[in-house]
Order: sequence, then structure tokens, then C-alpha cells
Amino acid sequence: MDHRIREVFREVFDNDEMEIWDDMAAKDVLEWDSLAQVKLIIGLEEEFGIKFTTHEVAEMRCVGDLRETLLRKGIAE
Amino acid sequence: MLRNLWQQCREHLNAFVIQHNFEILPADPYGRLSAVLKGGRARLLRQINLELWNAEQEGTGIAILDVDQIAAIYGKTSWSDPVLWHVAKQYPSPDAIPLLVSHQVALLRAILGLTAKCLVLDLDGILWGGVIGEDGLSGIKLGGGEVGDSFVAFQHYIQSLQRRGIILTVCSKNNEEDAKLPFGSHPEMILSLDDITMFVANWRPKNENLQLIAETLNIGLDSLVLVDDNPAERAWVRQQLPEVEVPEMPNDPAQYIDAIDRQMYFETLSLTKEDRRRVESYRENVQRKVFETMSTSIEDFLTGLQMQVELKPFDEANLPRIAQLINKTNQFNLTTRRLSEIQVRSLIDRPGVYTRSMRLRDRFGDNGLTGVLIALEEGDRIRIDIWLMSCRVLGRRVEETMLGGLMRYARDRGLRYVIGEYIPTPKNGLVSDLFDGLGFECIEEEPNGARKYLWALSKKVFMEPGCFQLVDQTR
Repeated sequence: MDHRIREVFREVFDNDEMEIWDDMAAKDVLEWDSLAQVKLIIGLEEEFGIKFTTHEVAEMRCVGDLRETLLRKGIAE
Repeated sequence: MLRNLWQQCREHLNAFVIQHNFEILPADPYGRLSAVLKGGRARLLRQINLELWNAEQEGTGIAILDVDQIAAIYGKTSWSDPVLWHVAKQYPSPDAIPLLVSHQVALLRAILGLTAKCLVLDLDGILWGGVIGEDGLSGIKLGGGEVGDSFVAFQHYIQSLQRRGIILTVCSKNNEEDAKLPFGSHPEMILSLDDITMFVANWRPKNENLQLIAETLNIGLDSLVLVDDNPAERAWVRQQLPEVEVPEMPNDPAQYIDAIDRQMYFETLSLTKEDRRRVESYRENVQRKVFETMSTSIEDFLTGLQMQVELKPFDEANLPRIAQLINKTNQFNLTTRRLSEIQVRSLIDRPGVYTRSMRLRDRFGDNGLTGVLIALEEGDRIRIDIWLMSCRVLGRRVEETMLGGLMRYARDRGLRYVIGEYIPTPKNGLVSDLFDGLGFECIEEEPNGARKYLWALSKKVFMEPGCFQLVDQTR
């Protein structure tokens, strides 16, 4: 799952070398503005074939939260 | 308030404005009352949208993108996603964006004048089911049943396009006789041969015929839309002529209308008399071209055209067209001097100024006002200050008739010389040797290529070509 999440981040931020880690959040990436946020949500929904609920998105504070949400939604490790 | 914003855009940004209208949302606490009640949200939004259409009609440099209709086409229940709206302010849902964009692009094409102009129709499998060359009139499917009826419906749609100003042509691999048979002989046929501007039926490759159609109609390949039910033909044309639009056609003729309509090839901003006239004037051009290929010599061709030239001093009625020609013509333009409409008006009836507009008619129709000549008397000579012709009428020797009119005038006034000038531009190389070819003497040449020419009226008589009937309206 991690490499799939990373691919989405790399695509949204147009950076082939980008790395992600568990407590990575918007404050850690200069270009992570609201537009990037929209692209991430849409990109992740497309990659994993799922739809986030409002509650899920509101509660996601970092990449680690994202991982947990995906696991809860039945995405395989 | 919106009008104010549009005006600001136009004045300060010099921009054409595309205004989206408002989607009438599917969810409403008032339900159907939202449209029934005077103050209902749905009713108000519909009224606002109607006002937006009215504003576009005022011709103020705006166009409305019908988001309400686009959302309906997509399906309003999936058009907006409330989750994405709340978490990211995203509207509409990402899956709907391609449809929104395709409508936006169609509108942009309309604004930029890039819409297609001409439908190129295959016959078998498109206008009727079956193959006319093999099944004959009674064997093809047209009307009289489920399949036949869908072809009739498609013909109705195509005919409406033609009435709107879209040119129809036929391009079919068939014997011409077989191909034309249903037009006029089949009782369920909607289209007539009159609706078809150019009828091409032969066994040559389709890309060659498409090029012939484009050349004859004098339009770009990118103005053509090919409708063909044969996937191999479609693939071939796409490969050979990538500029031609070739829509995918479904297997079921009942879906043909949708297949073409959905592509929005022909969106425009307005419908003018010129649009409706366009089909007629293209037909006239085709007839001229056909006649040209049939003539055995240029002389025969020109004489056979039965051209009538009308020369007239400038007048108020022709002023806009004259000014348009003076400012738009680049190729057949000896001096490329531009004048405003006010400046042109000041030349009307002015002493010492010779003005003539030229209108050309031939046996196929009226080419319109297509030539302008302005000459100024300077002592014993008269100098051609502005001389231009629309590229529509090049190669017909009309320019000689215009010059002849000036020569006669100069003689009548007792002048001794006619002076011509050529001022080179990147676009008027066509006429760099015009005066030389007409028999003028070059008396001055500048390093930049500008030339001055002389015609001594006492020494030479100007011979006009005999293929014209001249109507010279001198006051």
C-alpha cells in the first residue's frame, strides 16, 4: 500500500523522488496548498477505488492517519 | 451587477467573456413548489438563466455556457458530490469534468470561428441501410420499419443542419448513377440533390476526394466532418488526413444523430443571413470550378463566364464594404494604404479625386463588390493612390477593366499621364510586376523595392479584354 500512496503523492507534487513518512503533513511540504489537497483526495480515491467520507477526510491529519483509514476501508497492505 | 463585471472585463482586459449559468439543483426542500411558487429558488434561477440568454442576444461580447443543461446531460445526481464539496470545495465531481470541458471547448471553437463548416456524407449505411448498387431502390432500408425509420430520422437531422448553413457534400464509393437514384426516386428520401452542394461518387480513395472537396469549396480540411459507417475507411482517412474530423459511428443507425450531435462540431454564436446564404454561395463556387475544369482554354473559360463588371463612383450605400476592402485586402493591393470610413466618405464627389468600386457578376452569380480604385489628379497627370481587388476574383482579368475605366476618364479630362505606384509588403508580392505586365514604364525604383510607373496617354492606347460586359456608371 505504501508505494501506491507514494506514487499518488509523487504525481500530485510532480516529484519523482518524493518520500513519505507516517507523521508527514501539509506543514512539511511547501507546495501542499488547498489545490494539492483536492488533487490528493481525488488521486487517492482513484488509485484505491474508494470514496472517503466527510468524517474520514476531516479526521486525517497526517499520512499515518491516511494509512489507517485505508486499512479500515479494506485496502490490503 | 454581472453586466458591470462583463463590461469591466471587456474594457480593461479587452477580453471576450464566457459566463456560466446556474445549475438548478436536484435537491430542494420545497420540491416541485420551488418551480411553481413565484419566489421559489428553481423559478428564480430559471428566470436569471433566461435573462443571461437575453443578455447574450444583445451582442455585447459575451457567451453563456449552459452548465444547467450540461449537468442535466451528465445526470445531476452524480454531477455534484456533496462530500467533495465539503472536504475540498470541489464542484462538479471529477468524473463530470471531461464533459464540462468538451462543452467549453466547443464554445471556444465557436468564439474563435473554428467550427466545422461542411459535412461529408457516405451513402450506403449512412443515409440508408444496405447498398444501393446491389440492393436497388426497393432493397435499401429507408422508412417503412424500425431500421428504415432511423435512417429517415438521421436525414431529417442532417437536413436541419443544412438549413442552418452547414454545407452538405456526398463522398461515396459508387457509380454516380446508382448513388443519385434514391435522391428524387425513393419516396422516403428526405434529402434532395438540391441540398447537396457537391456530389462526389467514384472509386477513388476517400482522402483524395476529401482533398478535392476542400479545394473546390475553398475551405480547409479542418472544416470537414466525414460521416462514414466503415471503420476501415474511417481509420484510413484519420491516418491520411489528420485534420479532417472523423467521428466514431455506432453500429445502430438509431444512435447516429447522437453520435454526431454529441461532438458539437457546429456550435456557433449566432445565426445570420450570411450563414443561410453561405450554402448558396458555395454552390455557385462549385459550379464555377466545374465550369473551369471543363473549359478548354482560359479565353473560353473567361468568355463563357459571361462576366459583367459594374464600375461606380463611391457612394454612401457601398461605403462600409469599400472601407472593409481597403482595410482588409493584402494580396492584390498595390500600395496598401489604409483609410478610415470617415476618410473614405470624404472622397465621395470630391473634385480632383477619381473613385471607382467594382462589382463583378457572372453566369453563376454575384461575386459582390470586389474592387476599389482611387486616383488623384495632380496637374497634367492622375496618380493611382489605392488599387485593390478581393482575392475571390483573381485571375479573371477584371483589373484590366478597372484600369480601362481610369484610362477613359483621364483621356476625357485631357490629362497626359497616368502614374502607378507599387509599395512592397510581405503579402503583396502577387502584384509586384502588375504595372510592368500591363505596359507601364518604370520610371523610379527605391532600394526597398517601391516603384513608380508611367503611362503616356498620347503614346499608347490601353486595350481592355473583350470578355466583359461593362456597366460604367459615371455621373
